[in-house]
Amino acid sequence: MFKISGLLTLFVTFAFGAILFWTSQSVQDVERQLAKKKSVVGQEKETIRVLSTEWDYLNRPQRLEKLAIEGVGMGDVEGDSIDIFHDVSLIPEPVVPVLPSAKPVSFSRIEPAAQSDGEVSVQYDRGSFDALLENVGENMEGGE
Amino acid sequence: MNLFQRKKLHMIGERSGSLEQARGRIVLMSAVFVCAYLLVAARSVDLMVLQGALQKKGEDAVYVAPIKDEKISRRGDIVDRNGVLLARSLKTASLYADPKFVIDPKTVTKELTKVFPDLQYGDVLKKLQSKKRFVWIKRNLTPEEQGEVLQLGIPALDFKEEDRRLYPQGPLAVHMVGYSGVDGQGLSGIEASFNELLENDDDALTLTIDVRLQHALRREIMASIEKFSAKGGAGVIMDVRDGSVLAAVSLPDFDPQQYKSADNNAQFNRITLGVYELGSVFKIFSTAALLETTNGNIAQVFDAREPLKRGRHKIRDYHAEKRIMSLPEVFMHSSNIGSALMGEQVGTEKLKNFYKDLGLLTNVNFEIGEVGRPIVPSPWRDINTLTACYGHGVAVSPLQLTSAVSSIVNGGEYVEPTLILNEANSEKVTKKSSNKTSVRIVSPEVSHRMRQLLRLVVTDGTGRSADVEGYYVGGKTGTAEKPGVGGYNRKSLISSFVGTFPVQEPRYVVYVMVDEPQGTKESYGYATGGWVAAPVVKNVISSMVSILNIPLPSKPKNIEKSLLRFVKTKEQIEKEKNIATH
Repeated sequence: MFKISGLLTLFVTFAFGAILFWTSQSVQDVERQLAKKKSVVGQEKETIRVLSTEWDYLNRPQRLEKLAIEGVGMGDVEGDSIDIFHDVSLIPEPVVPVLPSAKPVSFSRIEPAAQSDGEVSVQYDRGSFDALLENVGENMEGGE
Repeated sequence: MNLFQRKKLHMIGERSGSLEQARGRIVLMSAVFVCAYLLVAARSVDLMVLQGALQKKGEDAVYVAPIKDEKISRRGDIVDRNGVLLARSLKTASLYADPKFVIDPKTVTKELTKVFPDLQYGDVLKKLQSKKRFVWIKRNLTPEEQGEVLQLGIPALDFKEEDRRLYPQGPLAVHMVGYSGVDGQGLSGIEASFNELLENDDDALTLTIDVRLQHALRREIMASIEKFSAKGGAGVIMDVRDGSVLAAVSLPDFDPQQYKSADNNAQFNRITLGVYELGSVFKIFSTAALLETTNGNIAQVFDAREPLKRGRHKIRDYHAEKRIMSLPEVFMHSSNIGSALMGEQVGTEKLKNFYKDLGLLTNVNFEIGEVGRPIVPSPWRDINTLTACYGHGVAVSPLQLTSAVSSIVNGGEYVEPTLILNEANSEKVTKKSSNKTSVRIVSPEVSHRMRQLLRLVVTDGTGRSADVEGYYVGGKTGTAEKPGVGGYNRKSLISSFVGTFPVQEPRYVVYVMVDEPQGTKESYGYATGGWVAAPVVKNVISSMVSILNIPLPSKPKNIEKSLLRFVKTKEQIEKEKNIATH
C-alpha cells in the first residue's frame, strides 16, 4: 500500500493546486471587474467630453447675446452707455428715508401674547428695532 | 468459469514488488484524473450555477472587451485663454462596406442614398461593385445616422470608430484656429502649424484669444461692413505689454466644419496674409521717427500751404488746411504734406531702418503659417520715403501694424505678436516664451509724446468718434486709396483706425480696418477712417471695458493738454487768414 508520506504529498499537491486554481480564478474575476470599471470610466469620460463640448457650443458669445437681447431685453454695450461722474459733487447724496410715525406692518403682526405663555412680550414704546429683537430674543430664551 | 474473475496472483520474490509498484502507479494516475475531472465539474458548476445566478441577479451579461493599456492617441484640444473650447476631437462612427459580401449592390445603394441624400447614387454603386475588401461609404456619422444604417440590417456594412474635429465656436476665430481635414490633418491656422504637437500631445493648446472679445470685435466689424456696404474687414486686439493677440477677426469668414464650401474670399486671412497700404495710420511711425531723431522736439512747423512737389510727384492733403502747421497739428489733421516733410527731415536710410526695427519690412514672426510678405519699394527712392510716411507705397498686414503701434505706445520696446498663451507649449515648438524683446524702438519720452499726440487726435482731431468717456482713448485714423489699374482708385478705400487705451498707460491696442466701404447719407458720403472705423473701435472698447471689467484709470489726466499750445484755435486760424488776405 501507499506510504503515508505519498498520500500526504498527494493531498498537499491537490490542496495547492486547488488554491492556485482558486487564486487564478479570483484574479481573472478581478481583472474582468477592472476591465468593466475601466470601460465604464472610459465611457463616462467620453460622455463628459461630449457634454463639455456641447456646453461650450451652447455658451457661444453670439448665442448668449441673442438670448440676452430676446429674453431679457438687454442690448449691446455702446460707448454712450457708459456714464462717468467726473465731479464727485455731482453724485447725489444717498436718500435717507424718513420713518413714518405709524408702526410698521410687521410690528403690528406680533400681537402681545398672553403673559402666561411667556414667549413674546412686546413693548411698543421701545424705539429701536434692535431693542425689539433683543426683547424678543430674551423672551424666547426664557420661555418654555 | 468466470473469465473476468480477477485472478489472484501470488508472486513472491522480485516480481512481487514490481507488481505492487505498477498497481500503485495506476491508482495514482487514476486519482489524478478523477481529481482533474472533479475540478472541471466543480468549475462548470461554478460558471453555470453560481456565477450565472449572480449575473441574473444584478449584473448585465455583457461581454466586456479587455482594455489595452496603450495610450489612446487623440488630437489635442485648442482652447482660448479662459479654457473655452475652440477645437476638440470626438469619437464618431464612420461607415464602410466590404463589397465581397454585398449581394445586391443596387438595392444597398438605393437604401444608403435614402439615408444619406448627399451621397451620389453612381458613386456609391461603383464603390460597392469594386473588387476591394474595404470601401468608405461615409465618414463621421451622427448617432442618428448610425442608427438608421443599423436599422437597414445589411451585413456588408460596418462601422469604424474615428475622431471628428469639432469647432464649437463655429466661424468665430476660424482664421486663427484654422481647420483640419477628414483624416485629422491640420490644413490651416494653428491646426496646421501645430499639427505635430496636437497629434502627439493630449494637453490642450491654449491660445491668447478671448472668445468674448473676439465676438465683440467680429460683431462690430460685421455691423460696419453692413452699414457701409464694404467688401470685408479685419481687426486685432493686442495686449501691448507682451504682444498677445486677444482677438483677431477677418471678414467674411466661414464655418470650419464646412470649409470645403467656403469661397476663396472667405478663406482669405486678411489679418496676417493680406498686405495693404494702410494710409495715415503710418504717420504714427513717421512722427515717432522724427521725434526720435530730433530728441523729442515737438515745437517744429511744416509748410502745408501748397501741395508738395517732388519731381513729377505731387503730394496733397485730403482735408487741406493750407497753412503752416505745427507737428501736433500735422498729426491731428493727418496732413500728408506735413508727414512727407517729416520723412524728408528724417532721411531715407533712417526711416527705412526705423520701419525695419518695427518689423514692417519683413515677414512677421507669428505662430500660424499664413503670413503675407510686406510689399516694399525696390529700389527705395527718396519719393518712396515721402509716401511711406503717410502709408502709401509700403504694404503690410494689419497684424504687423498693430504690433508696431503696440511697440511705440508701450514705452518703446518692440513686441512680437503671439497667439500661444501657454509657455510650456511654446517651448515645445522652440518659440521663445516671452515676446517682449529688449529691442528699444523709441525712448520712453518719445513714447509718451506719441501717446499725447494719439490722444490729441481723439479729442481734437480726426478720430473724435472713437472716444469712450473716462477711458482716455488715443488713436489715429487711416484712409488709403487702393492701387488699381493705372494708379490709385479714389473710390476704393481702406478705412482704418488704430486706438489704444487708457492712453496714460496703454494696455490694449485695437485696430480695425474696413475694405472698400461706401459712404452713406449718415456719413455725408464720406467713407474715411474717422467715419467708418473709429466708431467701431469705440464700440469695441466699450464692450471690452464691460467684458474685462476694466476699472477707470486710477490717475485720470488729460495728457494731451500740454500739446494744445501748439494747436491753433479756429479763431486764430480765421484771424491769420484775414490778415493774409488784407
